[in-house]
Amino acid sequence: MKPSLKRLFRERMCECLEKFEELCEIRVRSNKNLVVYTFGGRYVTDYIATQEDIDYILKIATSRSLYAVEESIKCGYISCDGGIRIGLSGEAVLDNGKLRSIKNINSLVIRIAKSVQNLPMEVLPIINNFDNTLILSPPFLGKTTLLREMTRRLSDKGNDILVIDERNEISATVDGKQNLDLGANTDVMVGVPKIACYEGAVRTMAPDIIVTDEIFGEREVDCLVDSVRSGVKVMATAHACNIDKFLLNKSYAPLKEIMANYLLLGDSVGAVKEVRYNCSV
Amino acid sequence: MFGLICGAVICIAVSFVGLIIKRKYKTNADFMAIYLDFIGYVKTEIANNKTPIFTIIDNYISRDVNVFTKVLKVINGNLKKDVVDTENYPKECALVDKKRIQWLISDIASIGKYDSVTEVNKLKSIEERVKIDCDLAATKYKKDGVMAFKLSVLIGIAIMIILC
Repeated sequence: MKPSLKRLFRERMCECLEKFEELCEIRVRSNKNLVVYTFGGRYVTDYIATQEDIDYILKIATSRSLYAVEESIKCGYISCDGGIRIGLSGEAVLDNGKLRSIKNINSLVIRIAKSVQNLPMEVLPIINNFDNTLILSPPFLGKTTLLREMTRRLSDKGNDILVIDERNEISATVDGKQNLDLGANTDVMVGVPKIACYEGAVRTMAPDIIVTDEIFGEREVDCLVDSVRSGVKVMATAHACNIDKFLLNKSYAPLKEIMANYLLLGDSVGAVKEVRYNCSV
Repeated sequence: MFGLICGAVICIAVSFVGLIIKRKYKTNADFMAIYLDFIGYVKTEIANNKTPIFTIIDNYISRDVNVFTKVLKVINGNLKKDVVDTENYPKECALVDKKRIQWLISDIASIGKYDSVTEVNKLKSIEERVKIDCDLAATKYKKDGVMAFKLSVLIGIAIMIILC
């Protein structure tokens, strides 16, 4: 277990987690069994997590300063060094109807970002001759990991890339420092709502490619289409199990106009189940 | 002659005891004044900048070197290692009431568990408590500390006269 992850846990929890290799996700729920996800699958451990364990993780993850990360807590996560992202749930603290914070946090989802060195063969033609690309996948099959590596490769080839990283999942930026390598020519906007970012980003950052994760809804699709019309290429991901069914959805149908390449992940983590090239209408 | 020398020695010794008592009261008064300033600084930094607590303390320590910042430096180091230690402090801090150091440890350890608005409200309560103790320490110094020194000098002189 890498030091940036190990430091989050008390001794007994560490001993339990050390037994697992290639940790991808750890679910810590107060008074419930610790659940661990690795590349090998899902494991329910014998370790019963306590509220003290959760409080300890939060104390270390925030350097004893929960207030310093309250903006990201409002979005339901905390980012830590080493590409670790902690999703949290608890009770909302409202102020005039607006979410001010989350208190009595009693469950955490700790996701450990992975990088891949070797891209699937199906992806290489896209890297070599890039055009608008959409990566589709059910949850937890590595679409963000793939997006990250493709971004890095495209950036190192000389493309100016703007990553719109609303939930800080792609870059894992902490205190202005990116914990994950996105390439030499990549700019990252962290924590900004995507819709607010698209128009301004194209004008001010003049990217060759805009990269974003988990597109959702008509408004965002319209923003992507407008970006492409203004001459910028895009690469995005979305949750889906089937390319055609996804594009049948009224909200996502406009993507057919702009997307040249589709990658569908499935069967196992990082594996490409289906690929379509040169598809745009 | 022997009596004069003994008297002088006793006078100096008694005056010295009075000086130490006065210094103890002064150290505590100064400590509390800086403690109050520190809490105000923490409150401002959290309210305006949401600066992480370790950074706040490091910045405060770098402003000046005094008994308070020496204690703070040790507390900060312990907190970074997740240790609570009320015993091992620099010898200059020996004159500070242990109870005040324990309050300081407890106050700092309580920071960082809530959102900024709640933290600032908490710090306002701490500030009120510290202000009361600060005023008390200042009053005690002016009355008891100074009085103890004057009294010890008088007693010393009286003993010297008697022995002469």
